[in-house]
Amino acid sequence: MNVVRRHARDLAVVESPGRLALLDLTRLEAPPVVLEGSAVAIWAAIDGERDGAEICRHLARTYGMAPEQVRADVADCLTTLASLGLLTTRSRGK
Amino acid sequence: MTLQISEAVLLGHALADRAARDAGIRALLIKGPGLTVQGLRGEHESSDVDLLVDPGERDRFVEVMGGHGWVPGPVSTAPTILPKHSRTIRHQAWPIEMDVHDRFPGFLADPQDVFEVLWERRTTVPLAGVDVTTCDPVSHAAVVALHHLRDPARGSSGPALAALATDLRSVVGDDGLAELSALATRTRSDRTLAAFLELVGAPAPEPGAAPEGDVAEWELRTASTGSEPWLVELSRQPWRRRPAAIWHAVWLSDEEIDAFHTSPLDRGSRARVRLRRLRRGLRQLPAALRRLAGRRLGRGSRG
Repeated sequence: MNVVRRHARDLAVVESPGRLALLDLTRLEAPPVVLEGSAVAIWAAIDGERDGAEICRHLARTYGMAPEQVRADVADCLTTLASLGLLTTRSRGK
Repeated sequence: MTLQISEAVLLGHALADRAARDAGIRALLIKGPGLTVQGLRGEHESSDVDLLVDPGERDRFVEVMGGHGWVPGPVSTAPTILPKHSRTIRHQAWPIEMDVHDRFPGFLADPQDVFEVLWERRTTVPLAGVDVTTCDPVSHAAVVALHHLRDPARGSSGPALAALATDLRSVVGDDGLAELSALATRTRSDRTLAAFLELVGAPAPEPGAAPEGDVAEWELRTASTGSEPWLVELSRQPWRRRPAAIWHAVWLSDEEIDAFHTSPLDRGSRARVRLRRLRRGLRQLPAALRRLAGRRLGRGSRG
Protein backbone atom coordinates (compact mmCIF):
# COMPACT_ATOMS: atom_id res chain seq x y z
CA MET A 1 0.00 0.00 0.00
CA ASN A 2 1.33 3.42 -0.95
CA VAL A 3 0.21 6.69 0.59
CA VAL A 4 -1.01 9.31 -1.84
CA ARG A 5 -1.20 12.94 -0.76
CA ARG A 6 -3.53 15.66 -1.90
CA HIS A 7 -3.97 19.27 -0.87
CA ALA A 8 -6.55 19.81 1.82
CA ARG A 9 -9.76 21.00 0.19
CA ASP A 10 -10.56 23.97 2.35
CA LEU A 11 -7.60 26.27 1.96
CA ALA A 12 -7.15 29.90 1.07
CA VAL A 13 -4.10 30.25 -1.14
CA VAL A 14 -2.09 33.27 -2.27
CA GLU A 15 0.47 32.57 -4.96
CA SER A 16 3.33 34.84 -5.93
CA PRO A 17 6.60 34.08 -7.72
CA GLY A 18 8.52 31.56 -5.60
CA ARG A 19 6.06 31.80 -2.69
CA LEU A 20 2.80 30.38 -1.47
CA ALA A 21 0.83 31.60 1.53
CA LEU A 22 -1.76 29.14 2.81
CA LEU A 23 -4.53 29.36 5.38
CA ASP A 24 -6.44 26.35 6.63
CA LEU A 25 -10.04 27.53 6.68
CA THR A 26 -11.07 24.67 8.94
CA ARG A 27 -8.71 25.91 11.67
CA LEU A 28 -9.02 29.67 11.69
CA GLU A 29 -7.03 29.99 14.88
CA ALA A 30 -3.96 28.55 13.14
CA PRO A 31 -1.62 31.14 11.61
CA PRO A 32 -1.02 31.14 7.86
CA VAL A 33 1.81 29.04 6.48
CA VAL A 34 4.30 30.45 3.99
CA LEU A 35 6.17 28.16 1.60
CA GLU A 36 9.25 29.26 -0.31
CA GLY A 37 11.82 27.68 -2.61
CA SER A 38 11.81 23.89 -2.83
CA ALA A 39 8.69 23.68 -0.63
CA VAL A 40 6.74 25.43 -3.38
CA ALA A 41 7.96 22.88 -5.92
CA ILE A 42 7.03 20.02 -3.60
CA TRP A 43 3.58 21.53 -3.04
CA ALA A 44 3.07 21.79 -6.79
CA ALA A 45 4.10 18.16 -7.23
CA ILE A 46 1.39 16.97 -4.84
CA ASP A 47 -1.39 16.19 -7.27
CA GLY A 48 -3.56 13.67 -5.48
CA GLU A 49 -2.16 10.84 -7.60
CA ARG A 50 1.54 10.58 -6.72
CA ASP A 51 2.89 8.86 -3.63
CA GLY A 52 6.06 10.05 -1.89
CA ALA A 53 8.43 8.11 -4.11
CA GLU A 54 6.70 9.36 -7.24
CA ILE A 55 6.89 12.93 -5.99
CA CYS A 56 10.65 12.46 -5.50
CA ARG A 57 11.08 11.02 -9.01
CA HIS A 58 8.98 13.82 -10.51
CA LEU A 59 11.00 16.54 -8.80
CA ALA A 60 14.34 14.86 -9.56
CA ARG A 61 13.40 14.63 -13.23
CA THR A 62 12.17 18.23 -13.31
CA TYR A 63 15.31 19.63 -11.70
CA GLY A 64 17.86 17.22 -13.19
CA MET A 65 18.80 15.52 -9.93
CA ALA A 66 18.91 11.99 -8.59
CA PRO A 67 15.79 10.95 -6.59
CA GLU A 68 17.89 10.22 -3.53
CA GLN A 69 19.13 13.83 -3.54
CA VAL A 70 15.63 15.15 -2.95
CA ARG A 71 14.22 12.32 -0.84
CA ALA A 72 15.03 13.72 2.61
CA ASP A 73 13.72 17.21 1.81
CA VAL A 74 10.53 15.81 0.31
CA ALA A 75 9.91 13.52 3.28
CA ASP A 76 10.44 16.37 5.77
CA CYS A 77 8.22 18.70 3.82
CA LEU A 78 5.40 16.18 3.42
CA THR A 79 5.49 15.42 7.13
CA THR A 80 5.38 19.10 8.04
CA LEU A 81 2.57 19.91 5.62
CA ALA A 82 0.53 16.97 6.87
CA SER A 83 1.09 17.97 10.50
CA LEU A 84 -0.22 21.45 9.68
CA GLY A 85 -3.39 19.98 8.24
CA LEU A 86 -2.57 21.16 4.73
CA LEU A 87 -2.59 17.67 3.19
CA THR A 88 -4.91 14.72 3.24
CA THR A 89 -3.80 11.19 2.53
CA ARG A 90 -5.28 8.03 1.09
CA SER A 91 -3.88 4.58 0.65
CA ARG A 92 -3.41 3.14 -2.79
CA GLY A 93 -2.94 -0.59 -3.40
CA LYS A 94 -0.06 -1.54 -5.69
CA MET B 1 9.13 32.82 6.73
CA THR B 2 7.35 36.09 7.18
CA LEU B 3 3.86 36.61 5.92
CA GLN B 4 3.84 39.63 3.63
CA ILE B 5 1.18 42.29 4.04
CA SER B 6 -0.23 41.70 0.56
CA GLU B 7 -0.61 37.99 1.36
CA ALA B 8 -2.07 38.71 4.79
CA VAL B 9 -4.68 41.05 3.35
CA LEU B 10 -5.96 38.44 0.90
CA LEU B 11 -5.90 35.61 3.44
CA GLY B 12 -7.46 37.91 6.02
CA HIS B 13 -10.42 38.50 3.74
CA ALA B 14 -10.90 34.75 3.37
CA LEU B 15 -10.56 34.27 7.11
CA ALA B 16 -13.03 36.98 8.10
CA ASP B 17 -15.55 35.78 5.54
CA ARG B 18 -15.30 32.20 6.77
CA ALA B 19 -15.44 33.15 10.44
CA ALA B 20 -18.62 35.12 9.82
CA ARG B 21 -20.24 32.34 7.78
CA ASP B 22 -19.34 29.69 10.35
CA ALA B 23 -20.92 31.80 13.08
CA GLY B 24 -24.01 32.59 11.00
CA ILE B 25 -23.19 36.30 10.99
CA ARG B 26 -23.80 38.39 7.90
CA ALA B 27 -20.70 40.32 6.88
CA LEU B 28 -19.59 42.21 3.80
CA LEU B 29 -15.89 42.57 3.08
CA ILE B 30 -15.52 46.14 1.86
CA LYS B 31 -12.86 48.20 0.11
CA GLY B 32 -9.56 46.38 -0.30
CA PRO B 33 -8.69 43.95 -3.09
CA GLY B 34 -12.33 43.16 -3.86
CA LEU B 35 -12.53 46.57 -5.49
CA THR B 36 -9.75 45.67 -7.88
CA VAL B 37 -11.49 42.41 -8.80
CA GLN B 38 -14.67 44.35 -9.53
CA GLY B 39 -12.79 46.79 -11.76
CA LEU B 40 -13.40 49.72 -9.42
CA ARG B 41 -9.77 50.32 -8.55
CA GLY B 42 -6.40 49.71 -10.11
CA GLU B 43 -3.75 47.56 -8.46
CA HIS B 44 -3.30 48.97 -4.99
CA GLU B 45 -1.72 47.46 -1.90
CA SER B 46 -4.18 47.48 0.98
CA SER B 47 -2.80 47.31 4.48
CA ASP B 48 -5.78 46.02 6.40
CA VAL B 49 -9.11 44.27 6.14
CA ASP B 50 -12.39 46.18 6.40
CA LEU B 51 -15.70 44.53 6.89
CA LEU B 52 -19.20 45.76 7.52
CA VAL B 53 -21.03 43.41 9.85
CA ASP B 54 -24.74 43.14 10.59
CA PRO B 55 -24.92 45.93 13.21
CA GLY B 56 -26.80 43.77 15.69
CA GLU B 57 -24.11 41.11 15.46
CA ARG B 58 -20.97 43.24 15.43
CA ASP B 59 -20.03 42.56 19.06
CA ARG B 60 -20.64 38.85 18.63
CA PHE B 61 -18.42 38.84 15.56
CA VAL B 62 -15.65 40.50 17.56
CA GLU B 63 -16.10 37.78 20.19
CA VAL B 64 -15.98 35.06 17.54
CA MET B 65 -12.77 36.51 16.17
CA GLY B 66 -11.42 36.60 19.72
CA GLY B 67 -11.78 32.84 19.72
CA HIS B 68 -9.47 32.77 16.70
CA GLY B 69 -6.88 34.95 18.43
CA TRP B 70 -7.94 38.36 17.09
CA VAL B 71 -8.25 40.78 19.97
CA PRO B 72 -9.54 44.36 20.07
CA GLY B 73 -6.92 47.10 20.08
CA PRO B 74 -7.08 50.04 22.48
CA VAL B 75 -10.39 51.86 22.25
CA SER B 76 -9.85 55.56 21.62
CA THR B 77 -11.80 57.90 23.85
CA ALA B 78 -11.05 60.81 21.55
CA PRO B 79 -14.34 62.36 20.46
CA THR B 80 -15.56 62.16 16.91
CA ILE B 81 -18.12 64.32 15.17
CA LEU B 82 -19.65 61.30 13.45
CA PRO B 83 -20.53 58.18 15.43
CA LYS B 84 -17.66 55.75 15.98
CA HIS B 85 -18.09 53.21 13.26
CA SER B 86 -15.53 50.45 13.68
CA ARG B 87 -13.53 48.39 16.11
CA THR B 88 -10.02 47.34 15.26
CA ILE B 89 -8.87 43.81 16.01
CA ARG B 90 -5.35 42.41 15.81
CA HIS B 91 -3.59 39.04 15.95
CA GLN B 92 -0.02 38.60 17.05
CA ALA B 93 0.80 36.30 14.11
CA TRP B 94 -0.66 38.59 11.46
CA PRO B 95 0.96 41.82 10.17
CA ILE B 96 -2.39 43.50 9.50
CA GLU B 97 -5.43 44.71 11.39
CA MET B 98 -9.12 44.21 10.73
CA ASP B 99 -11.57 47.08 11.05
CA VAL B 100 -14.95 45.70 11.97
CA HIS B 101 -17.60 48.27 11.05
CA ASP B 102 -21.18 48.28 12.25
CA ARG B 103 -21.98 51.30 10.07
CA PHE B 104 -20.33 53.34 7.40
CA PRO B 105 -20.12 57.12 7.81
CA GLY B 106 -22.13 59.07 5.28
CA PHE B 107 -25.03 56.64 5.06
CA LEU B 108 -27.41 58.62 7.23
CA ALA B 109 -30.26 56.08 7.41
CA ASP B 110 -30.39 53.77 10.42
CA PRO B 111 -27.28 51.52 10.29
CA GLN B 112 -29.43 48.37 10.33
CA ASP B 113 -31.52 49.64 7.43
CA VAL B 114 -28.38 50.53 5.49
CA PHE B 115 -26.93 47.10 6.10
CA GLU B 116 -30.12 45.43 4.87
CA VAL B 117 -29.97 47.43 1.63
CA LEU B 118 -26.31 46.57 1.05
CA TRP B 119 -26.82 42.93 2.02
CA GLU B 120 -29.74 42.57 -0.36
CA ARG B 121 -27.40 43.62 -3.20
CA ARG B 122 -24.41 41.54 -2.07
CA THR B 123 -22.21 39.51 -4.36
CA THR B 124 -19.00 37.52 -4.07
CA VAL B 125 -15.49 38.04 -5.41
CA PRO B 126 -12.71 35.45 -5.59
CA LEU B 127 -9.88 36.33 -3.21
CA ALA B 128 -7.15 33.88 -2.23
CA GLY B 129 -9.02 31.22 -4.18
CA VAL B 130 -12.15 31.65 -2.05
CA ASP B 131 -15.46 33.34 -2.83
CA VAL B 132 -15.72 36.22 -0.38
CA THR B 133 -18.96 38.11 0.24
CA THR B 134 -18.85 41.78 -0.62
CA CYS B 135 -20.97 44.66 -1.89
CA ASP B 136 -22.08 44.67 -5.50
CA PRO B 137 -20.23 47.26 -7.63
CA VAL B 138 -22.92 49.94 -7.27
CA SER B 139 -23.06 49.78 -3.47
CA HIS B 140 -19.32 49.30 -3.25
CA ALA B 141 -18.76 52.47 -5.20
CA ALA B 142 -21.06 54.32 -2.79
CA VAL B 143 -19.07 53.01 0.19
CA VAL B 144 -15.75 54.00 -1.32
CA ALA B 145 -17.00 57.37 -2.52
CA LEU B 146 -18.17 58.19 1.01
CA HIS B 147 -14.77 57.11 2.29
CA HIS B 148 -13.07 59.60 -0.01
CA LEU B 149 -15.65 62.34 0.54
CA ARG B 150 -15.22 62.12 4.31
CA ASP B 151 -11.68 63.48 4.04
CA PRO B 152 -11.68 65.78 1.03
CA ALA B 153 -8.60 67.58 2.35
CA ARG B 154 -6.55 64.43 1.94
CA GLY B 155 -4.58 64.96 -1.23
CA SER B 156 -5.42 61.61 -2.75
CA SER B 157 -9.19 61.92 -2.30
CA GLY B 158 -9.96 64.03 -5.38
CA PRO B 159 -8.04 61.90 -7.88
CA ALA B 160 -9.29 58.69 -6.28
CA LEU B 161 -12.89 59.88 -6.56
CA ALA B 162 -12.42 60.85 -10.20
CA ALA B 163 -10.87 57.46 -10.98
CA LEU B 164 -13.71 55.69 -9.17
CA ALA B 165 -16.26 57.61 -11.23
CA THR B 166 -14.56 56.60 -14.48
CA ASP B 167 -14.30 52.97 -13.42
CA LEU B 168 -17.86 52.79 -12.17
CA ARG B 169 -19.29 54.19 -15.40
CA SER B 170 -17.51 51.55 -17.42
CA VAL B 171 -18.43 48.70 -15.04
CA VAL B 172 -22.15 49.38 -14.44
CA GLY B 173 -23.30 51.63 -17.29
CA ASP B 174 -26.36 53.87 -17.20
CA ASP B 175 -28.60 51.32 -15.50
CA GLY B 176 -26.10 50.99 -12.69
CA LEU B 177 -25.90 54.75 -12.26
CA ALA B 178 -29.68 54.88 -11.89
CA GLU B 179 -29.37 52.16 -9.24
CA LEU B 180 -26.74 54.24 -7.48
CA SER B 181 -29.15 57.16 -7.24
CA ALA B 182 -31.88 54.91 -5.88
CA LEU B 183 -29.43 53.43 -3.37
CA ALA B 184 -28.46 56.92 -2.23
CA THR B 185 -32.10 57.69 -1.54
CA ARG B 186 -32.73 54.44 0.35
CA THR B 187 -29.65 54.86 2.51
CA ARG B 188 -30.17 58.60 2.99
CA SER B 189 -26.82 59.37 1.43
CA ASP B 190 -28.20 61.48 -1.42
CA ARG B 191 -26.74 64.63 0.11
CA THR B 192 -23.50 63.18 1.42
CA LEU B 193 -22.89 61.52 -1.95
CA ALA B 194 -24.08 64.49 -3.99
CA ALA B 195 -20.63 65.45 -5.29
CA PHE B 196 -19.94 61.90 -6.46
CA LEU B 197 -23.37 61.45 -8.04
CA GLU B 198 -22.75 64.58 -10.06
CA LEU B 199 -19.20 63.57 -10.95
CA VAL B 200 -20.25 60.15 -12.18
CA GLY B 201 -23.25 61.52 -14.07
CA ALA B 202 -25.91 59.65 -12.10
CA PRO B 203 -29.51 60.86 -12.33
CA ALA B 204 -30.55 63.21 -9.54
CA PRO B 205 -31.79 61.08 -6.63
CA GLU B 206 -35.10 61.46 -4.86
CA PRO B 207 -34.50 63.21 -1.53
CA GLY B 208 -33.61 60.67 1.15
CA ALA B 209 -34.93 62.69 4.08
CA ALA B 210 -31.75 62.59 6.11
CA PRO B 211 -32.11 64.54 9.36
CA GLU B 212 -30.69 68.05 9.00
CA GLY B 213 -28.56 67.63 12.12
CA ASP B 214 -26.88 64.54 10.69
CA VAL B 215 -26.17 66.32 7.41
CA ALA B 216 -24.69 69.21 9.39
CA GLU B 217 -22.44 66.79 11.29
CA TRP B 218 -21.27 65.27 8.03
CA GLU B 219 -20.53 68.69 6.56
CA LEU B 220 -18.64 69.68 9.67
CA ARG B 221 -16.69 66.42 9.64
CA THR B 222 -15.70 66.82 6.03
CA ALA B 223 -14.48 70.36 6.70
CA SER B 224 -12.82 69.68 10.04
CA THR B 225 -9.13 69.98 10.75
CA GLY B 226 -8.94 68.13 14.05
CA SER B 227 -10.13 70.51 16.72
CA GLU B 228 -13.83 70.45 15.87
CA PRO B 229 -14.51 66.98 17.30
CA TRP B 230 -13.25 68.13 20.67
CA LEU B 231 -15.33 71.29 20.51
CA VAL B 232 -18.42 69.33 19.53
CA GLU B 233 -17.82 66.89 22.37
CA LEU B 234 -17.32 69.80 24.73
CA SER B 235 -20.62 71.34 23.70
CA ARG B 236 -22.35 68.03 24.44
CA GLN B 237 -21.00 67.95 28.00
CA PRO B 238 -22.66 69.58 31.00
CA TRP B 239 -20.73 72.64 32.17
CA ARG B 240 -19.39 70.89 35.26
CA ARG B 241 -17.68 68.24 33.12
CA ARG B 242 -16.08 70.61 30.64
CA PRO B 243 -12.81 71.24 32.52
CA ALA B 244 -12.16 67.48 32.65
CA ALA B 245 -13.04 67.14 28.96
CA ILE B 246 -10.61 69.92 28.03
CA TRP B 247 -7.91 68.29 30.10
CA HIS B 248 -8.54 64.94 28.41
CA ALA B 249 -8.46 66.53 24.95
CA VAL B 250 -4.92 67.67 25.58
CA TRP B 251 -3.68 64.81 27.67
CA LEU B 252 -5.24 61.55 26.41
CA SER B 253 -4.29 58.31 28.16
CA ASP B 254 -0.87 56.72 27.70
CA GLU B 255 -2.53 53.82 25.87
CA GLU B 256 -4.27 56.12 23.41
CA ILE B 257 -1.05 57.95 22.61
CA ASP B 258 0.84 54.68 22.27
CA ALA B 259 -1.83 53.35 19.92
CA PHE B 260 -0.66 55.83 17.28
CA HIS B 261 2.89 54.44 17.45
CA THR B 262 4.35 51.08 16.62
CA SER B 263 5.74 50.58 20.14
CA PRO B 264 5.01 52.08 23.56
CA LEU B 265 6.64 55.49 24.15
CA ASP B 266 8.65 56.56 27.17
CA ARG B 267 7.47 59.40 29.41
CA GLY B 268 9.54 62.04 27.66
CA SER B 269 8.27 61.09 24.22
CA ARG B 270 4.66 61.11 25.42
CA ALA B 271 5.18 64.56 26.91
CA ARG B 272 6.48 65.83 23.56
CA VAL B 273 3.47 64.30 21.78
CA ARG B 274 1.13 66.06 24.23
CA LEU B 275 2.88 69.37 23.73
CA ARG B 276 2.58 69.04 19.95
CA ARG B 277 -1.14 68.21 20.31
CA LEU B 278 -1.65 71.30 22.44
CA ARG B 279 0.17 73.58 19.98
CA ARG B 280 -1.71 72.13 17.00
CA GLY B 281 -5.06 72.39 18.80
CA LEU B 282 -4.50 76.03 19.73
CA ARG B 283 -3.45 76.82 16.17
CA GLN B 284 -6.62 75.23 14.75
CA LEU B 285 -8.96 76.63 17.38
CA PRO B 286 -9.97 79.96 15.78
CA ALA B 287 -10.87 78.39 12.43
CA ALA B 288 -12.70 75.53 14.15
CA LEU B 289 -14.78 77.96 16.20
CA ARG B 290 -15.67 79.87 13.04
CA ARG B 291 -16.83 76.69 11.29
CA LEU B 292 -18.87 75.57 14.28
CA ALA B 293 -20.61 78.89 14.77
CA GLY B 294 -24.30 78.68 14.00
CA ARG B 295 -24.43 74.96 13.20
CA ARG B 296 -27.13 72.78 14.74
CA LEU B 297 -25.73 69.31 15.06
CA GLY B 298 -27.45 65.94 15.21
CA ARG B 299 -28.06 63.22 17.68
CA GLY B 300 -25.52 64.15 20.32
CA SER B 301 -22.95 61.93 22.00
CA ARG B 302 -22.86 58.45 20.56
CA GLY B 303 -20.69 55.48 21.27
